[in-house]
Amino acid sequence: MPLRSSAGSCVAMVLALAGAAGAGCSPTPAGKSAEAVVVGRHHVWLAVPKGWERLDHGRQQLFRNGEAQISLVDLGPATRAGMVSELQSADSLWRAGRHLDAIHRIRNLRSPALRYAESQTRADFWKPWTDAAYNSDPADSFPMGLALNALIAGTNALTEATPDQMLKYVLGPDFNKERTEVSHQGQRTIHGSDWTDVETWSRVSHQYRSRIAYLVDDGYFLVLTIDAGIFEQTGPAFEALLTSIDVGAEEPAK
Amino acid sequence: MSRTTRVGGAAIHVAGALVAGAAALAIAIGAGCAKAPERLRPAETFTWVRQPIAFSPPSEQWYREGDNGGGMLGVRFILTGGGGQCISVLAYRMMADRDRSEALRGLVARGGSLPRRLFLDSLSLARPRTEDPISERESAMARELNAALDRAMEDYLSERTNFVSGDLEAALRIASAYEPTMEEVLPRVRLVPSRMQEPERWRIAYERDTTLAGLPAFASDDTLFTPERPLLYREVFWVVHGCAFKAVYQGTDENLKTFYRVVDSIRFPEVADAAAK
Repeated sequence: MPLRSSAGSCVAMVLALAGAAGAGCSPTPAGKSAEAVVVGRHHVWLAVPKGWERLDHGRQQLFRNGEAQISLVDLGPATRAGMVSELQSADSLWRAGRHLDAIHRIRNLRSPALRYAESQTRADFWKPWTDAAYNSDPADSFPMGLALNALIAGTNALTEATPDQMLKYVLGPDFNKERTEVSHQGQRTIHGSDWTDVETWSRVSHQYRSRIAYLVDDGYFLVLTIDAGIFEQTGPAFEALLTSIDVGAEEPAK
Repeated sequence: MSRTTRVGGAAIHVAGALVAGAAALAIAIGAGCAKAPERLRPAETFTWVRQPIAFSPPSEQWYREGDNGGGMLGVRFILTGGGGQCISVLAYRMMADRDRSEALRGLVARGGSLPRRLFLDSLSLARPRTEDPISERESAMARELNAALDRAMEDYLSERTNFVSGDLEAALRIASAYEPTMEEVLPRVRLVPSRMQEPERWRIAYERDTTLAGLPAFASDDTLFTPERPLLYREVFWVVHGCAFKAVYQGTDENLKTFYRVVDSIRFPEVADAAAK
């Protein structure tokens, strides 16, 4: 009898331990536990769909299942505030003596406000930097520092991108309007974040469906997109991933 | 005797009831077996040319393929295991591209802000095609439009910028005033066996003007002789806001009703309505 009693308490302990461990994992409808992932500037919780693997490329997270691929990308500054943040990061690099890194960051500054500005506005924005880079020794901090400050101030002269321009920017220059069109576009709130959810298909036959969803978090784009694979396979995985993404949360969404 | 008659009468009643029951059963079974009409898929709107077209595609049994050939753009639904039976809905893209009013509208809207090289490029791209005209009316419009664009270029190069916008607006008016009609388009698009690669395969039967999808249409009921068997070949043409469309059926009599159900579902929504969808 005492033996049976101790066996019973052992089973109870094991069950209690299993319960405690389970509570920390917070299983998701996708069948996997949410995990914390850093995508460029974004800190997110997400659940990798069952049967898919995640590859961490820093600013880009790849999700693969055979030939099918979905990616979650930090697409850089979306708003003027994002541009300022990016330029301030370059400034910090410059001050830390990492001049080449800072120059690389500035040269790769992209944003919809900049892309869809009038060519003269764009030229005016870059003028202080190109003048300083042309006339000065890159190692000379003073003129470059002034140019960086002028760039930061110059963001005020840009017009904030419209939602249509943001969509065009996210779809990218390769989006061929002759071949592909947006079949559906809507707004969704997922774990408190406002996503723009877009579905595309072939303009001619309405085949080759694909999806792309994006949000602006702290001035930066976070974009989930189907890169490759048949929609019957990638569509459900995309939906499972999208609904699992919790941006900037301390804890995974229950 | 009377007993026998009564028994015989009862037997006749029972037999009658049995026959009636069997007949009712046969009717019921027959009704159950009758082929239900094939359900079409939800309507889709296609924007192959300036004028959108909306229709309900046939069921999943008909798989789809994009069709971009012969100056047309559209979609073809092929019956799985149907031995070449298909339904196509197509727009005459190259004919629609002859319309320069959209390019001219862009020039009028932002011509003044374009750099010189870009303006001259856009001006040359706004010129209408003059070779192989659809009709004498189109040919006359193209000549008139080219003359207006010549004036715009001359004024631009002579720096008479005040006149340029007037010239462009005149050009836009000329381009917008012309829309090809069914009478102009039909001689180019209708089936003429001698224009086909193997003329002997086609037999023209019954051609008529009619009204389909609420618009004037031209329909033809022809035959295509394939190596395996003769197939029905049906074509329906529309010209809507200057854009030509056609629906084609190539198949057996059995699936003809599916084609006509697709044709019945065809609509030509206004551009703004289609964009909103």
